[in-house]
Amino acid sequence: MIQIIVNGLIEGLAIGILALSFGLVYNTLRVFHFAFGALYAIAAYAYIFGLGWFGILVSILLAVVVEALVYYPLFQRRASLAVSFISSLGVYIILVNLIALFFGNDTKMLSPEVRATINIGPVILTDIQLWLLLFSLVVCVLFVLLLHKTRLGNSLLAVGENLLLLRALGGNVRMLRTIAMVIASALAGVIAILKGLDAGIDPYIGMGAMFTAAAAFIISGGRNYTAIILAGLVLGLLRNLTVWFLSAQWMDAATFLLLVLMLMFRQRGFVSNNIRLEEQ
Amino acid sequence: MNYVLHLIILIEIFAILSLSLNLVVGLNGFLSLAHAAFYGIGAYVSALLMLAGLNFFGALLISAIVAAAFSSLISIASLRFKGDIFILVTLAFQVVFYSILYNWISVTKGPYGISGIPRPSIFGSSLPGLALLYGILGGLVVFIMIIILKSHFALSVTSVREDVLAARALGKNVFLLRAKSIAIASAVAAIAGSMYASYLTFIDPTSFTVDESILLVSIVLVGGTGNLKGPIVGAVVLILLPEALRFLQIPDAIGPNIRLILYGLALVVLMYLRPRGIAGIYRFE
Repeated sequence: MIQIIVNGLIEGLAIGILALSFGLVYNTLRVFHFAFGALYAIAAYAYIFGLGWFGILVSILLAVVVEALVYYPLFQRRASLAVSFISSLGVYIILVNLIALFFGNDTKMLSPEVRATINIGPVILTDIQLWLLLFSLVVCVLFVLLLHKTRLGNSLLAVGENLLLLRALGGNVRMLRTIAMVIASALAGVIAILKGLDAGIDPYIGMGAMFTAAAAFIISGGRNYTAIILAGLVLGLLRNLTVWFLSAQWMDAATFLLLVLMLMFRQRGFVSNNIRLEEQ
Repeated sequence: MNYVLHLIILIEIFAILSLSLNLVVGLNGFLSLAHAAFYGIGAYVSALLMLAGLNFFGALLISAIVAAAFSSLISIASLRFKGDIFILVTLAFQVVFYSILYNWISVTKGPYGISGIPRPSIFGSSLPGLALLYGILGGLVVFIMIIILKSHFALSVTSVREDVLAARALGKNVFLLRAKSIAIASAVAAIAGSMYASYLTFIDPTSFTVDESILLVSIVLVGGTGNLKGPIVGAVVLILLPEALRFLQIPDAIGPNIRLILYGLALVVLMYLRPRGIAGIYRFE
């Protein structure tokens, strides 16, 4: 049981990081970043096909391209959320099918051998879980510090909050949007590779990851980055407990049921905010 | 010849699907990722009923009613949420539905699927008879859609789409209008599901996934929404595109991926240049 909880918390941290990335893009670019799922998968594929950890650079590069070719032109046109959502969906479909075209639809293993395990008291962890834990903790701290303590972080928040004022004060909106995309893809790339080392990859892994991240982001209320990590932890626990009590097939259903319940009964997320998400 | 008939039957099924989704996307202005779930409800309910001995039309009718009943969940969500949040709620519906299909093995046989579904025998159960029957059903759906799209009802729903407050001020019952149109859309999708199940005589959960929902939304958006032409164009293009690719000597194995890539490209380009799709009239705002 303790094992389940520990596994859940570690997965929850990973979800939290993905939700942070997704949320950063959502709050800064005002785009439902569906293509996030494809960029996630691409990092893992670049890892396995020769680039190693530099694979993350591929997904970062693609993120910059997507912003330059798709999101920014739409932003200039003041496109609505629905239009940018559909465009992002289109990008997702293109990228995922390109992966499938070049690397096949089958599941691939990133690491052929069984991973080393470490016993800590009653809990058994793989080395990947330890790395995940370490990386997530560092990122969480850095992320919150970046956003709340630095000028760059404040500017990133301002892009979504008060665009006009930021422009008036001489902020470079285009640059800030790109930075948000880069940070999000870099974080997602690391998580994708670590999880890929654990469980193997196929071209479609990104969609589940993206939707879970989106769910955690919405559940948290979306405005408070500490709350996002908390929501990730809750989902991680929920998903692992679901596997324990029911089966792995119910994981996504449980995630989304929690999402719907939260939307029905506590629209502001479990950390109180001033604004309802709909009204943003 | 059989191959042409196969394509015709698929076009008939997908045209019905996209015409029905058009009621949600085009008339209401809501993007739904749950349409494959209603399609699946139709397929599973009618398959189980037919295996229990009911005839095709009875099963088709009951499955449509069941789907319409379940659509009320989506309607309730449409009242409270819009935009991205509504999409996530429909996605939740779709994911939970898929999990139930997959896990409720005593009824749905889970991943093994249901086989031996009988075909309707009214014009003979061979392909020409089936294509004719489905053509008649498709024609019926088109006829119903013409009536709906030209009706006062469609105007009211459109007015709600354009300005909820104004519509309410004019005494429109927003919830009822949305619920009715979404229920009709779901019932018609279920009809397509029954047709699909009877045609293939075998169904399993993989035909009713999130990906299928995404594909359906893309069909409607590429073809265009808000009118009769757009969704039909979308469905015809979807089914005939692989054949065009085959004509260009692209091997079958990568055909589906190429097709989806072209769809993705079409979505991105259309959203930038022509947000109302190839032949539609409503553009997303």
